[in-house]
Amino acid sequence: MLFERAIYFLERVGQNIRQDAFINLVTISTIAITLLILSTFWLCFLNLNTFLQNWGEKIQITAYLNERTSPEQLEELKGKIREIPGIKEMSFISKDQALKLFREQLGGQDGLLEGLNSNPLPASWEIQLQQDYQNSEKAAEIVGKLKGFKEIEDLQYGQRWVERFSIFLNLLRLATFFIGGLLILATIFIISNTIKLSVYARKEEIEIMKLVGAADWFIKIPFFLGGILQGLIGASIAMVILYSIYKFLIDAISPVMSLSLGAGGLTFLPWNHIYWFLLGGMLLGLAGSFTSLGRHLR
Amino acid sequence: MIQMFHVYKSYLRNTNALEDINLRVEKGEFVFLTGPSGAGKTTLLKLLFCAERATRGQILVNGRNIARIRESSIPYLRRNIGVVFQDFKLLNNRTAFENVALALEVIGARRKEIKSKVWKTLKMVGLQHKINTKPLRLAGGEQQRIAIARALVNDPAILLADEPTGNLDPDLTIEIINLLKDINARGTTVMIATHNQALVEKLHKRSLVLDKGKLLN
Repeated sequence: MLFERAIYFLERVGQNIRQDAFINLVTISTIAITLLILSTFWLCFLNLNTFLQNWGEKIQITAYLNERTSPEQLEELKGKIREIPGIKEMSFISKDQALKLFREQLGGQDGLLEGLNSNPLPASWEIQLQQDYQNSEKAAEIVGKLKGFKEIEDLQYGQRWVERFSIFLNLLRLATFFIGGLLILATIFIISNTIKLSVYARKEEIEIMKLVGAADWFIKIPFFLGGILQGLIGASIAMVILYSIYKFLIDAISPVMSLSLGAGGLTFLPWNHIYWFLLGGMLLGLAGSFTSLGRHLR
Repeated sequence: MIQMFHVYKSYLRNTNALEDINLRVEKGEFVFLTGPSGAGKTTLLKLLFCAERATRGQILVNGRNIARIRESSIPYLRRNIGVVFQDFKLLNNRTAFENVALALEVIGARRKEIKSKVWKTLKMVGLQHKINTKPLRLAGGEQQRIAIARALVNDPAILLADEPTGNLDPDLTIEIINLLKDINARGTTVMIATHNQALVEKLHKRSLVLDKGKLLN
């Protein structure tokens, strides 16, 4: 009985799609375009996030030294730092070297330094971490230990750059949600209108069905199913197009990109995200039919 | 079978499409509802299958008060009332079989049952040989017989017909009326709205006369 019903509804969906091929095409394209834009944003976000993580892991610690540190203390400190687990190598930058580097960075503007009587820049150790310690958690641990030495006045470990990039990523995520929200609303609006058209095209049929005693849900179900099916098709198309674009980009610029992005390179959406997009498409289609049928069947 | 008590229907304030209607139609009766165009015949029929709701008054159909029926119960009421219109209201892109089957599909009948019932009903209206023909390839009288078959396939207790012969020539009119008489003879209560006075006089059946929304005695 239930099976026969299901078959009946599916047949009706098929009939509806065949009869209003153009309207259905418009709906499917709308869903596909919306989800393509959203998934493109999302894919960019995911890859930038991976990129950030890769870079965040390449943490280098700079330990600025106290002015009054004597050469003997310096040697002693070097030995102590070396004993901390996770330190790969360290190079010393003296006050003079620091000033020289600074001059180089200033380029033509080095006249600014003319008035200086003494060198204000501190000497420092640049400390590289071992592979296993190259994440912000472990780095923070090491920084904590370094803070314990009175000869070290200040510590810097690329955190600021990572934080700034995180802010950018958060903005991107926010933009994705905002634009996504608007797109979804617009899509629901368009779908609800296309479904209204298709309800209108079947006005006579719906009237007759009601006349012979069809319950409201019986009339609505094929439209809901149609919406869900359109959503699924639209979302699948979006995923296929996104993958094609991704594949094209990878093949075209991969050699350059993988250099700057590190070993990870570009990745496509993971499967579970693809499922979410497919589900999202179906919900979009359902929401569209829901909003149009609520009032329109009276 | 059908009773109305002090029923009013108004679309605009101060003008009544129907005014203080009181009537009683017995089970198995065959009645005409007559009167000039605009007298309120169609409105009265619409109240009976809840296409319109009465402004005031009580309406009993098959023992049930439908004046205050819930929106969600209307489909179930309609399954017990067959309705036939002047313009047939057939789906032109579907065959005779599919048009009649629609009335069974929407109540969730099984395929096998649909097949046999549609066949039987089409045979009763004499169109079993046109089962796969679409309405536009049928004559007017045949189209109306398909519509009657659709109204009857559920075995309703009541058949309402709104000017069922309005689009048909005199020969076909007799044919359709005879069919409706047959149906009535099988026990279905039949109510026909028509302004064709000659038809009413020829049949010697009870007729309710409406004029300007009021029932005349």
